[in-house]
Amino acid sequence: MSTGKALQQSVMQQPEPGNSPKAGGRLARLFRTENMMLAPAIIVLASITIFPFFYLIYASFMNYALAIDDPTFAGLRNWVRLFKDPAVAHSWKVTLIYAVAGLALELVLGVGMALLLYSTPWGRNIFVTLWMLPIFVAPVVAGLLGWFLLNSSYGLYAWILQLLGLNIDIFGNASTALPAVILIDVWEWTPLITLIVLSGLQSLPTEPLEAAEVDGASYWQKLRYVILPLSARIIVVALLIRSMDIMRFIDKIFITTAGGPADSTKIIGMRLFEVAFRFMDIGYAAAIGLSMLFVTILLGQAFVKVMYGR
Amino acid sequence: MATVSFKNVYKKYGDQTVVKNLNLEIKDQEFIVLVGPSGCGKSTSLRMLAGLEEVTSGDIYIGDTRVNDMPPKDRDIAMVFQNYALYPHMNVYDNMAFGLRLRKYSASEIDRRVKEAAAILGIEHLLERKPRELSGGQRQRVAIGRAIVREPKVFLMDEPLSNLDAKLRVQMRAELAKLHQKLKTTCIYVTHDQTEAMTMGDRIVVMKDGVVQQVATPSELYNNPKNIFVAGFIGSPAMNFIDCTCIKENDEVCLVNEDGFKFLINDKKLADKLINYHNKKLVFGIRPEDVRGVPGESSKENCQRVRVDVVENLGSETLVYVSFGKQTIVCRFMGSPKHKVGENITIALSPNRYYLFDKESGVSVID
Repeated sequence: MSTGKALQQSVMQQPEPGNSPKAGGRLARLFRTENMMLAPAIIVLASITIFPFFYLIYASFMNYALAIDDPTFAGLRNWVRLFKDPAVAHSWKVTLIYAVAGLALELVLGVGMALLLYSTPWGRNIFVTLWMLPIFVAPVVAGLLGWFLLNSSYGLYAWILQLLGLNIDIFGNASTALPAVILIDVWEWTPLITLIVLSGLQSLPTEPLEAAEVDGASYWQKLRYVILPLSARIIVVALLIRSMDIMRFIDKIFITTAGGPADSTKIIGMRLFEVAFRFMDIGYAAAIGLSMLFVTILLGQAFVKVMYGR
Repeated sequence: MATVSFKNVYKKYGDQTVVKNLNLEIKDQEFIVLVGPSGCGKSTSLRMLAGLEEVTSGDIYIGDTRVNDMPPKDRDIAMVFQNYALYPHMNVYDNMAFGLRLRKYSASEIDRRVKEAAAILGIEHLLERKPRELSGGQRQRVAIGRAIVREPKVFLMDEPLSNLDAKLRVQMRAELAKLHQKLKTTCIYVTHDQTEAMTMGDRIVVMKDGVVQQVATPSELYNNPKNIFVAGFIGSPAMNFIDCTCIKENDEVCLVNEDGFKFLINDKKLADKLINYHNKKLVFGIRPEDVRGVPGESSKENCQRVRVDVVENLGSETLVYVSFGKQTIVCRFMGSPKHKVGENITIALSPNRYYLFDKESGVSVID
């Protein structure tokens, strides 16, 4: 009670931001009540992300193998290797195909489904719930499901394909494995795009849409000239979230193909995992990880520009 | 330009009826105002005409065409919404041109119409701006401009001025009236503000709970309200109502109540009619301007001794709230205040400008 009162008083005594006295100086301002209240969160955040981040930078300049006793300084060797390694370049290429194809499919299907659900006059909640089911499934389970369904010996889909005369081992074939993991990702994450875009659609002002109707717009014209421009931002947000995740989430690939066959599904995250925990080369893995972070930040920046640049 | 008619129109949401048996004939070039408290069905009626709400039963005609099942885009109407409903991602020019582009007008025709409308509304300098860079009044002009350029058969306006501040509202009210005189397009205007209705409408439709109460010109509505609701809704400040009982003693017909109210009916014809109401409950109505202050403690007919509760000085006139017993009455006196709060004064009720309603049905007893 007394502390509560004291807190209340100190909050109430805070000067207005505009005319805070200079006399207290920076230190006094640093220890203001609100900063003190934020401190625990910042400390936790620092210990779980900021420290590891700097440690990662440190590791990327070291010869750092889990097996050997002490890391030794390696200079720029890991970084030079990163840019020269054909395996890493290949992984980035696979990542690009995987991400672009996956995102494109998820975008088209997700937005299309959101528009359908948006104009469903009844039972929208039931359809949304059904459509959302894949998100609720653990990614590993999604991978396992894909594995079982497409497995050449006992998979349901593989069996159907065989009935159609396509007798192939989907995960065992370099040309079909990548499309297969892309489709599993699409199956799992399209609903997320739908969910985000649908929430954006539902918060659209109704009056401009009605105005467009009165102005003479058909459904497609309304969609093209009013609905999509107004929900462009939320679509970009959905894409941003997905594009960051699609590089990092390796669970499905880990379960189904483990990057093979012939590295055809080895996206950069999978490569990182392999370097770190199969080859135990933590220093090199740190450099790969930092390059992924860099690309992610660039992507994020690009999306933010698209969103607010106009 | 066209007539509009509603024939036995009903609108139901589930088992709730929001518009009951609406029958309305709107003449070509008429400016008609639908007015009523919120939830009375006025906006719903307008939206049914626009095609934004389905008609549950009945028919709506624009000109000779039944439009019930016609999508909004084919009805040749233009609508101005309460929240302007501008397209936020388009500039003013594109907002106004949008409907014309959809209808495949030539670029030069679109340009001519948009510039013309912009000139009428005084927004030529804003054409390149986005809606968020405009003030409320400017946005409303753009919304009106978007309707004008279409040159529709009918204008529909759904509380277009209610988001504007008081001063701008009065200004836009006059401009809209002027615009209508110029364009002569049939216009249906929805508002909850009786002042807007009175000042703008050729005819006014008063609605309550989905039912039309009265359709009449402003002056008829003011002078001959059909029922107690219309009487109370039209006019500001609202009409005073006094619950009373009609009694006949000797040869005189009187209205009395337990607060000491007594009003003698002078009109012979009305007095004869009121014989049927002997000992029945009536509501006596009188407008604030039909109450006069009388010097001294007059005991004349239709005078009442009252106590002054509140005095509101409006400059050119003064509103005085007085009471006797449980009854409160607003009086509108010309000029600056002459009375003090707490003072006892005498008021005289006009012997020929008053209203009488059946307590039970609310219907006017005077025809």
